[in-house]
Amino acid sequence: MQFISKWSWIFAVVGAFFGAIAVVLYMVIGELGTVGTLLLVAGGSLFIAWAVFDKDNVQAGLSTKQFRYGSGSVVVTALAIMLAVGTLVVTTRHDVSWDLGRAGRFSLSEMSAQTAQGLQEEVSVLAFFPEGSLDEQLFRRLMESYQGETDLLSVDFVDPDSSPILAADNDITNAYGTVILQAGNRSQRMESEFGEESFTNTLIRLFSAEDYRLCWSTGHLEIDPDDDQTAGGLGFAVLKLEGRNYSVTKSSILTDGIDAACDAVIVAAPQRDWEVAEREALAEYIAGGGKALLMIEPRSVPELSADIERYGVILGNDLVQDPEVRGQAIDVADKAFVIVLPEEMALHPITEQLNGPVLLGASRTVAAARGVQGYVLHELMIGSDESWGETNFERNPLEDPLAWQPNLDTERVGSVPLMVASIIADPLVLGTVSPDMAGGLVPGGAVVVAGTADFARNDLYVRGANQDLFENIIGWLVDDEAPLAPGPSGEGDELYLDFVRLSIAVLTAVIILPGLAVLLAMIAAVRRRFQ
Amino acid sequence: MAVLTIAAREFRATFNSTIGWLVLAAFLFLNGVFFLMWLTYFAEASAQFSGGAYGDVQLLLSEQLFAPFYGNVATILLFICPALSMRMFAEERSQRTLELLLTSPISTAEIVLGKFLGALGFVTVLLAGLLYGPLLLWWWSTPDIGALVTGNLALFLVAASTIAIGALFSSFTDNQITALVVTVSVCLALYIIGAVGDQDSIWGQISILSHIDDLFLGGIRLSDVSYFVGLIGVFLFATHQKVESYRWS
Repeated sequence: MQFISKWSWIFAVVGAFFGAIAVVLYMVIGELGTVGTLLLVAGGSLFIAWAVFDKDNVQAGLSTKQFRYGSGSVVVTALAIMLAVGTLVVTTRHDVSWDLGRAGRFSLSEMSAQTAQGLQEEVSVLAFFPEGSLDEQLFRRLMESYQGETDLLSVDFVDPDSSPILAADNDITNAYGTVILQAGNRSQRMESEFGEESFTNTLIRLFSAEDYRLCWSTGHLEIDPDDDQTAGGLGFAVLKLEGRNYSVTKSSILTDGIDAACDAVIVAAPQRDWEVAEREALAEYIAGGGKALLMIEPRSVPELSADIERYGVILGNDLVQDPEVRGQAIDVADKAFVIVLPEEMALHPITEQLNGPVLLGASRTVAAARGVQGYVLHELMIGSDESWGETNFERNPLEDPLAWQPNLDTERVGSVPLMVASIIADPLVLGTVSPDMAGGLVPGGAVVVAGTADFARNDLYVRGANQDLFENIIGWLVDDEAPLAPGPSGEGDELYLDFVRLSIAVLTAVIILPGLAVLLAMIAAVRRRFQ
Repeated sequence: MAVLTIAAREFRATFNSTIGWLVLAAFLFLNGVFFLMWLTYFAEASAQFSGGAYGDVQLLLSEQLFAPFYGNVATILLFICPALSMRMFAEERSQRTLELLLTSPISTAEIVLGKFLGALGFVTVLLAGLLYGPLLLWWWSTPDIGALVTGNLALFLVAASTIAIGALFSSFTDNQITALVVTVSVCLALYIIGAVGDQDSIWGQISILSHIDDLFLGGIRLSDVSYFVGLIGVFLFATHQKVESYRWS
């Protein structure tokens, strides 16, 4: 018995070890499980065994002054730890944040904040996420930001595994998360993206009076609206629109005509020219108050290009050149790659809010006709002072860069116009309206004509202010009441480091200040020596 | 009042010693090198992207220069602060002056707080020595003042936490090196433990790193502040309990 009593402390050590493993298991897996429970029971049993076998020493230890004071100390320290952990848990679950940074990383964008502040009726959000998942945590933080802007947003988080009936009632099939927004009888769902942009768009869609239908002209080798895989596709742009209250349907004007239900027609860089019937169908549609975005590439569809003059817009048969070669900053050294700066854009609803440059790409000139009646015309953007519309497509700037100059007699030179918005105030100016349309003439038809579709391509869409430009054009055409894209938020910091500045930084950071501290160390040493 | 007297005594003692100034010199030199590294990196990136003029890359001094730089400073503080806190009680115990201190008419709480504030005062001087960075950038560019304030607050909280942890381990031993090694180990564990899980896991909640990221970028979260206040409070309280135990042991 004495032998057991002498070595019983081993039970305590092993018991503590088992207990520690059980705690670690619980922290890693999130539950004790069979192994953890067994370890905990075994550890507790060993501790009890130690207390029984070494009863005398344990009793003596418990009655000492050190133990009494020490155990009291351990208890109050444990209470302090529990208080700190409890406070951390409560503040994490009901977190409040303040954003002091200029970049606004911890606050909603202006558009999201305006959308939340503009809510007129209560919106209930039912968020189905696996409990404790990262998506749930991020969405919870996002909702806290929105709820900071409005009292009309209520959020309930539901774990589909814990509430299978509620999940089934709401047709929840996505294991990763589904969010349902409800306001009165209306509802919208989010099933893949749960970020700020996605939520704001869903909120806008929830209250939007109508869905907008865009008709995508096909049959002339236009750019595919479904192509979100290749650089030259327009799929990103379409996906973004579909994320809001827009639907995009392809249609052949030649075979189907233009459905009057189309809120706008999009013509995306056709490579095969239009038939007369198609051009007339478009004119009739516009005369009836229809809207269209015409993106016509350089050196393509000459007959359609010429026909666009009936809308008060003149497409140049040229390719815009810019000697400033602004594209170098994005590794594009092509003089024919046009970049338009904010100061080169018009004060027009489409462009006035753009506070970043537009990477337009290879474009032809697009000018408003002069001295014509029946139109309201705006040239939306122009090229640099040195830009010109090159008409000789055979010339190669790589072969003779020095001779690459505009022909002042035949070419449009300096601040060339690049995009025009035209409102048809008098539909009769469109000319070839059929007699049966006479009663259906509606002033206010509009077209936006661009000399390229490059700016909306997948590889350029998210760069500069391109996305905002494209969405603003569509929003202006269909008269979308939802806020137009606000443009990039904030501006970057610039830092130019010349030799003088670098020298000042080096001297200050690694020579003067550390040197001063070393000098003071030496003074301290000398003072101590002579004290 | 006794707290401030002890704090002032500790603060003066640090600056009366050669070591204190040499620590300051090493701290400034090391961080100076890191600052220059991030400064030249940012300037090159700024020249390449014209400060985000083309929209796709928007460079911010607070995010591309100061946030990583303050990350470096926090790592250096991880070693500097334990070196400051190791002598707090271990030295008193090895020189047998702790008994003298405990028999004086000063409470244990005042002793612990005074020593803590003395060390924190020295670290504040260290951090103040880095203000040349924001000042130079304020002269040459337009740094985000809000993010700089929260970034420095993060460094201050990290330093205070590390000193509080060091105070506890210094109170357990009369060997300063032991206190230093244990404190550095614990702080290092608190830094890297977040890598085990994501930020919202229990490991992320324990980790110091996950509570300073937002502060470096200008965001102050109540949960981050309560984490640091709790960490400092618990370790100072435990230190108080340990030092108090010498009265009755």
